[in-house]
Amino acid sequence: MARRQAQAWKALATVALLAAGCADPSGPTEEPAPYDWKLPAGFPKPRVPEDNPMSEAKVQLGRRLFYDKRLSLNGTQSCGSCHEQARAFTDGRVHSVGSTGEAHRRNGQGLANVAYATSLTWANSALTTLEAQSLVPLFGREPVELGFADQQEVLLERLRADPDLTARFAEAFPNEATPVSLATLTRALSAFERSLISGTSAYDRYLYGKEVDALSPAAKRGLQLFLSERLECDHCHSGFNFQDATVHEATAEPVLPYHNTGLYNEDGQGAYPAGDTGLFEITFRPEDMGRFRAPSLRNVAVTGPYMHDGSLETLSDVLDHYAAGGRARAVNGGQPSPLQSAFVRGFELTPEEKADVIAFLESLTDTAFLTDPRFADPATVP
Amino acid sequence: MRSLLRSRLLLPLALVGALGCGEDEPEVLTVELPVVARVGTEAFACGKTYTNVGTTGTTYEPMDFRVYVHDVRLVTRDGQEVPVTLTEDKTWQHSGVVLLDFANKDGLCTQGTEGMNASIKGTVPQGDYTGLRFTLGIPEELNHGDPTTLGKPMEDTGLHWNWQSGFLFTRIEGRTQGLPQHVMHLGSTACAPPPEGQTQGTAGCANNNRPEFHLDGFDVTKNTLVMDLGTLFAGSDLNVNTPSTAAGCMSFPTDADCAPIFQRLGLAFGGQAANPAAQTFIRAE
Repeated sequence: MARRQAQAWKALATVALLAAGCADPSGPTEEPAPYDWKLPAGFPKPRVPEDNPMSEAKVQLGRRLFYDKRLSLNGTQSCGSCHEQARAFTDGRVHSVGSTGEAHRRNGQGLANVAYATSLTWANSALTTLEAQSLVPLFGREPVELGFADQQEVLLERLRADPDLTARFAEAFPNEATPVSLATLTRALSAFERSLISGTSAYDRYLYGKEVDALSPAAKRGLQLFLSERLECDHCHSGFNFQDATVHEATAEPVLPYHNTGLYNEDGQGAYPAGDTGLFEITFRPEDMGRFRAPSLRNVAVTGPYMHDGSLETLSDVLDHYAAGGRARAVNGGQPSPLQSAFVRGFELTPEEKADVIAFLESLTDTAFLTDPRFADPATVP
Repeated sequence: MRSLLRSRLLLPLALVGALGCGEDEPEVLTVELPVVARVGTEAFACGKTYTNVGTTGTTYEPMDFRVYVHDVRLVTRDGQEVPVTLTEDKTWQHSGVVLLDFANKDGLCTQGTEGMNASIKGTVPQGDYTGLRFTLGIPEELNHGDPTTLGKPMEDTGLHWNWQSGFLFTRIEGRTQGLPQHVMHLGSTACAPPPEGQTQGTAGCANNNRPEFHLDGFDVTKNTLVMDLGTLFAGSDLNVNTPSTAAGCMSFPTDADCAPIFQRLGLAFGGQAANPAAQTFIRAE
């Protein structure tokens, strides 16, 4: 009996489908309005995962969630707590600190142009989408960041209890039977993060805007030094985003590069400190010891302290590290680590040249990005 | 324990007629394989304290015990493997994966759900079966998918290794005299980035860490699967942890605490070759 009913229902459904198909052979298609990236001149279109197309409603929802402290279990932190717009979405700390006070072993990363990154975080080749990455701060326990490990339902119930937020989820995800879910939460957050495009620095106005005076003479000299074979900076900080781990819509084959810069060499064989060995702890390949992803240098002047562990305070310290051919040489009788990148060879800079390179790096600061109301906390900048 | 056994359904249930559309429909055997968790001779339960565990005979107080299995097969008398079609309940069983959950919210088991699942349910064609085989873990084609959309039992972020972009195949945690938390997380490691053209998944993991279990002579009408933490930890000193490694064993190939546990799972570890015959974690009774 039950079976016959089910069959009858199935038959009816088939008829209904056919009828719909006959009425409109192309099917009812409602294309969402294309998202306006407002891309800066010279910038390629970012790649977007097929299952998370961009939309204005989704980006706006993501922006709210990004700044919502309900996204930490104890209500003390939001994503924005460790990713401040004025610091190009870094936090100014040596090590980030989670909602329960636990220190992260790593320095908080900037989010400017993260839409173009092939890999995320400092040293994890497995994390290649923002959607996947967002689960780490939400649910991670080593260290605790937002603190929802084993408390997934608490998070979702909390968001569902807010009718305004639920309506925004429904607007951003019109085809979802359950508008507030972990999948929609991570997708909205990721869509907002992808919208964080920085490309109107003095350097951009100079290069793409053809404003010859946008760069100071010192910054122009610094640019030449940055690109020089002497300094080798642009091998890892390459392309429009000053990051070799870059992908965009037209990229034929994305790459996931990681580099050992000779920051540590604990045993003369290239070992990094046991608790922070870089890509090695994902791949366990000996050659990946101490390898980290080169960050984008856009807005680098406001993202200190530097390196994966925040161990270099200023841009001057960073240049000293590279000038020395890796800071760790000093503790190994001037010998380089056998694992460090061949591009970290060391160089000499006069004080004037060093000031020029820093002037160039400062020309990558995009003040419009750092103050753009579209990226600000909607509670303070509606 | 007794009630578990008593409530067990022994069902060589012929469903001809109920399901059959034609005369030639093969008879279907509904199987419900009970799985019990133990620590040595004692039944596993959150809130209990077990004594004499591991090489130093420490105490063990459970904090969690969950295990994924998949690729469940019965073996016919003439040695043929027949896949068990798992019943989709979308809570414990989905896409050919079963989550076995022995932890409720008693005692120190504060994470996870109150609900428990101690059986594998499915159907096979009628036959003369004399063995059971299955694989522990999440299958490769699902392991690196998006946990937010895979559906239960794979949407529990407490069983996802976010930074490894894969699942914990086991989440076995407890407190001992020497350690505030001993963690046994099995999962794939040394996984390559997604293959070209994909934003998710992996081009392969060097250490898949999915042990195969072959229980010859398993009688589907009589036997029970036993997952025994006593035998799993028999070669381990649960009172100490190798310095600068995860608390217990989180499948790190560089963590010496994993060597005896991997051996008892029959898995390769470091220089130790895979040896399924050395597996003592799961047995039939």
